[in-house]
Amino acid sequence: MKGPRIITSLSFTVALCMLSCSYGMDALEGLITKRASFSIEAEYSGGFVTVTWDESPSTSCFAGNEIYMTTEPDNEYSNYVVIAAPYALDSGIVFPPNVPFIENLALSNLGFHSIAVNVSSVPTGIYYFRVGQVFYEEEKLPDGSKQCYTDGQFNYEDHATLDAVSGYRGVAIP
Amino acid sequence: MRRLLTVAPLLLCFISYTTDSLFAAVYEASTLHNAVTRSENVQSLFRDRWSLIQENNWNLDFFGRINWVPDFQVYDVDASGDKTAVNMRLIRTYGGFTYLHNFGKEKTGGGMLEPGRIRAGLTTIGYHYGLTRSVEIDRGSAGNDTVTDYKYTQFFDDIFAASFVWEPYGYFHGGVIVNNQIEPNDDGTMSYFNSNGLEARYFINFNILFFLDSNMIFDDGSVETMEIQVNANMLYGFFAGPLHPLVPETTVGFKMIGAYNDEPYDAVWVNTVKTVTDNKESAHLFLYSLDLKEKLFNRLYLETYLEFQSHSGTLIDKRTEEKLSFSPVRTFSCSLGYDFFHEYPRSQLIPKIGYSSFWDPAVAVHGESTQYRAHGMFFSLYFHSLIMGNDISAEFRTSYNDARELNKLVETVDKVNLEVQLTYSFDSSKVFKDTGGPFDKEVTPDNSEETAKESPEVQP
Repeated sequence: MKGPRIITSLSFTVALCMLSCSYGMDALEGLITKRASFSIEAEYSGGFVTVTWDESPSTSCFAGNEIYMTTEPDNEYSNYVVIAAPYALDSGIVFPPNVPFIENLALSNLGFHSIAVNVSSVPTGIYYFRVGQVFYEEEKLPDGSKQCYTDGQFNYEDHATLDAVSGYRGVAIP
Repeated sequence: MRRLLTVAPLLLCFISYTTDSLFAAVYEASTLHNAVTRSENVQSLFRDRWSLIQENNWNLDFFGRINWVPDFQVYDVDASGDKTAVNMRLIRTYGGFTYLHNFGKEKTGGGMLEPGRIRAGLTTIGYHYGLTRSVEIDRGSAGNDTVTDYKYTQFFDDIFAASFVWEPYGYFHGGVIVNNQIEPNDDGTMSYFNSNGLEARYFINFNILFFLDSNMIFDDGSVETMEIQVNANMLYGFFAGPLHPLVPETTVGFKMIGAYNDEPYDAVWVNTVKTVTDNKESAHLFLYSLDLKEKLFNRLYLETYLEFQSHSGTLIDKRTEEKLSFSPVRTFSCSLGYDFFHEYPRSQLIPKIGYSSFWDPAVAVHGESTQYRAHGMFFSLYFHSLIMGNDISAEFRTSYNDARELNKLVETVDKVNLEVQLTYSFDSSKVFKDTGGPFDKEVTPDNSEETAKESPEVQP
């Protein structure tokens, strides 16, 4: 009986030690402030920018990937705007940066890792792209158990939150 | 939980470093590179934590603190080649864990020098400094969000220490300080395994009869920092019995730091102005301190701290290339706090305000004026309570040019600091089936008043 207790105590201690070092506290701060946590690729070709990512999200409550783009040219610190999502978060042309919004349900598939964005009308300059992973919140059922909100435009807009975001990748648009 | 699962692989995986001309050029935050100061800071954090652990007789202690300095301006070259001032956020996160095992029971009577229990423990304490940048994301009809990226070099300093306490003769701590620098990827992400500067320093800290405290940090076999402190009340009490409670707790100290080393981030040259090819020289900073603490009517907290300074060698200001006129007083600070929960056992609610004055040649480099001295103040709100047998505390602190913060990192001069700290100290007898109760109080001259206040509540 003593063995499992020792293992439990040691595991508990190791977990606390990991959280108590500089790296653990930084990771915690990174969670609070939603630090960019994975890398992507982005490449320009013939009026389109193809954004590619390898990061596979957790399957539980996954709602979809979103693509973001900076609104100003040549500004690494510019704000971003969503230009592609599984549901219509915008309609028509997203301006700035002047790209047609892409509503593509395939972005909610775990195996979908690449999308091409039409940037033919975007003013010349360097623009930056990111990928965000969005997850549904959990709702409490009458019996006390929890389940993820189900897929749908309304739930996506109101009950899905950005959980992880990629680093940024710059692309020169001629 | 899902985010934790996301972070776990991040801790373990290696993200390759890439270079890309589409990203901003690097303008390094300078004194963050000073590993001497950073080692001293993390060591000081370790000692502060240990003094609380000893004072409260804890066996298991876990704490975390996050400090943000918003609007930390850095001059940056953007993708178009223009140099612009960019607002970043300086983050400093601290975490600590200590486990102490008791061998034998506490001494409840007997002579002053009669052997008491032995305690042995392990501690990890870490400190992360770095700049981050936050950006807004407009998610259309799904709302807005803010995310952050790492910017420039990130610094991680950790202490791994073993401790041995033999009551009432004193204690010994020994361990390693690991200083690590990590360069983030150009896209704002970072791998903890992408180190580009890993150094180890060693330290020892010993205490004799709980009034003489000595601390040393070694680098490459030589003493880099040395400190000696004497608690005058304990010393007097040891030879002549306890002092009157109204006599403030008085600590005098001496510290020697290898502070000036002709490094690019130093604000001064040592002896002569140097070129890139000249050999580096070193000079020491000597500090002489007096700390007075008073607790009146069990609710009013007063503290005054005065620190004098001198140095070896000749110091030359890098900005003026003239000999530095060194002020004899480095730090003066005073604070006032009031415990609104003084009537409740083992609980505290203390708002505190303080004023300070701090002198350092680097203040003129990083501050908005060319003065070497900065005057500042702080406000803090501290809450502490005993919840289900465990001590829980929280503190919020905001400061502007506070000497305590400037001493840790002079680059925070003329900037607002925001800090949140949470502490959770476990009852080890519940977690580890320890031989000793963690909240058994020891009656010693310095905590007898507190013990009398707390005893009825803390006994199991």
